[in-house]
Amino acid sequence: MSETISTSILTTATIILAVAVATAFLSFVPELNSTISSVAYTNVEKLKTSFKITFVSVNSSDQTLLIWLKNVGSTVIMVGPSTDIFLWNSTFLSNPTDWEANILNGEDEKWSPHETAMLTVNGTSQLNGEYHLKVVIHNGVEEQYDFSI
Amino acid sequence: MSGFGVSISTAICIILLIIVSIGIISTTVKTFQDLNEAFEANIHTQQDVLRTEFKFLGKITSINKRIISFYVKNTGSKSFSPEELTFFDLMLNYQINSTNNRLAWIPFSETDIIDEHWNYTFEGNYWNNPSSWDPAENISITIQINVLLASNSSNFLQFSSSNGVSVSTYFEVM
Repeated sequence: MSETISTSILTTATIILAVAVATAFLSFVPELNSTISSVAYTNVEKLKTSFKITFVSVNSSDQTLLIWLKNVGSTVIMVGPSTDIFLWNSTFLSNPTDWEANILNGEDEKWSPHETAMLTVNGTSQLNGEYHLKVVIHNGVEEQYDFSI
Repeated sequence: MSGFGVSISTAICIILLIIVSIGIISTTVKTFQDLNEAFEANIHTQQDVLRTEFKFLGKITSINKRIISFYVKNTGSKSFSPEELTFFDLMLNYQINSTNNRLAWIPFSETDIIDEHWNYTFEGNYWNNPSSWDPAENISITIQINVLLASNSSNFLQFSSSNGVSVSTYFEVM
């Protein structure tokens, strides 16, 4: 009689343990999947993202720096506040924040593949000499362009 | 009874293992497919850039200081569809008088609806694929500007493809 009770308790305990382990593993799988998907998505987006600075000009009369960029990747690129612009040379470093973007040959406001965007950077002081320009977009993809005035 | 419990537990563990494996494998396979597609797209983009090359042919001419014409030869191994050609960029930095320059990004337009625009026509032999700009073929570009070129001026023109490859040249206007 006591042996039957002991066996029943052990059997129940084993099943409960198995269910507990199963539940723990099953709850872990979606989290793992989500992490893998998130890492993959980030890398997929970076691989699909590519742009090129095709032309840079300084308008000294209204102190603006004009930058033309081409989306040469295979995905829409977001150009917004999370985009960084750096302008520097051996004696000068600037991270202008007063700028705006315009899509020149698109049908909407999205910067789609093949389309050209123009950034107008306001308030650039008198530029003279050689400069390096770097544009970094939200996912860290960047492009550098060297020019002289 | 004990054997029954062990069997049930083993069955639960095996089912669990199968579910976890299916979950992980399906996610991993999907992830690898997405990464593979992205890699292929990236490589395709880079190969396209390497295969893209074009050059100005002959002289850049101006009619009435309002129309600029030139020829471009596809010297690479990539073909461009008419849709891709519409995404080419044309930058013009030109003298409007003896002291002032004007920099303009000229939009593409097939019609004269836009006052300032550029357009192209296929030139030469198009027996191979008449609907695209193929290697060794030429296109004729015509630019119409709304601020006239200055006489005896030195001007700059840059022509960039839809994948960011550029050619540029200076040209004189008498």
